[in-house]
Amino acid sequence: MLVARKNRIRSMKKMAPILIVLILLAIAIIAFSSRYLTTTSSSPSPSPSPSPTKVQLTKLSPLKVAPDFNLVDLDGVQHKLTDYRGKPVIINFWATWCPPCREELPSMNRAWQKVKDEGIAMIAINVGESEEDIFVFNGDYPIDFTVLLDTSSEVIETWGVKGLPTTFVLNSKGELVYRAVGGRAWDTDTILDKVRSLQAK
Amino acid sequence: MCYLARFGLFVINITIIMVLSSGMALATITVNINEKTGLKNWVYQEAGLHLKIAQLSLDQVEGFYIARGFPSSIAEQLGQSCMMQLVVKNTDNSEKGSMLSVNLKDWVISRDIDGKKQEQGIKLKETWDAEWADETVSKSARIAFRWGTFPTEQDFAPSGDYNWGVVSFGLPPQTIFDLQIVWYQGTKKKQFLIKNIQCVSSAEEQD
Repeated sequence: MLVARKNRIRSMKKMAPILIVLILLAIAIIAFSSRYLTTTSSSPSPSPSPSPTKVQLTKLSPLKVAPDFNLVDLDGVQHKLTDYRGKPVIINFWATWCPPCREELPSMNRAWQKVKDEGIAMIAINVGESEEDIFVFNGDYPIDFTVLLDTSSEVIETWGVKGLPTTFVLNSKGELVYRAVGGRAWDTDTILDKVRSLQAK
Repeated sequence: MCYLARFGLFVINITIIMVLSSGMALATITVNINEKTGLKNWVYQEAGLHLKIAQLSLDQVEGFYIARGFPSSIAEQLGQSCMMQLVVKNTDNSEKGSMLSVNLKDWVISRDIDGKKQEQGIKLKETWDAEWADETVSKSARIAFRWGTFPTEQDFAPSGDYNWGVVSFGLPPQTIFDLQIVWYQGTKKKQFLIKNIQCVSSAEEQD
């Protein structure tokens, strides 16, 4: 028993330096990794893209009826939101000078080509600009679906929007079901199938 | 087993756990320069957040606001106030993603003036808008300003929500400053100090 005890003490003494080194190494790793890695480097390349994100819409809960509006289109014809009851509606708030709006509009136009005969409505509500601004813009960015003018930006305020573009998807009862802050690829079936699922059965 | 051995194993286990968890939270800040324009941008990324602050040239800023209907004197004032583009994106791809919330009132600008640290907040769009309440700027121009400026408060859902907008740091051209950014991931407050952000230089020096 005494011999076994002596052997244990000898092996502990051998292990001690190794354990001390490991402990010090562990402390160093903790100190390093507990801080943010802030390597700053200049490079001529464009800023890195954010990590790929799932293309999704935010599901809103509880469902609320969207605020009604009465806005004119580019031909001066009035449109009320309640005119669109009975079908899902995609409503996009945008402006011609907004870069992400310009980026997503082509995908919205392609989405319109896919859904226009499926009983789904799409509306692009321009904020704060004139018909002339939009007419010029349409030369480079055609919009084949309904464009309405929220010239005074009163409607966008009632909808609680914070930035452009923001898009909502309403069900056939006029309830707000989905929201997207920032642009999306609207012509993908991942998104369009969500809209299709809101059609009245 | 002796106490030293037990303690050592405990520390090693904690280290492995911390490295694994902190590895997922490692953040990076990169400074990039556009070769054509010489304009810089600062990109901060960590789990759940992509943030970019990009210099805008004085001509870009003034031209944008003049095109929106601002008087040239006020467009110039805006251009000289260190306006930059801000992009914030929620990059949380996890199953139960967290809401990302930003309130620009929490952000702090700090710089060294004559050896003393001076702090101030961002010049928010509400402050600018109040300066034009006397109708020196048309309503349509103010609407464009309101919607082109990064909102003071915004939530970004974990479905790829993002926003672009300009932000005014309210500093003279060429000022170098540090910016403490603050955001919330769910209820967890997070912050980071971006050092040495530089306001673009004045038009005369750019020529």
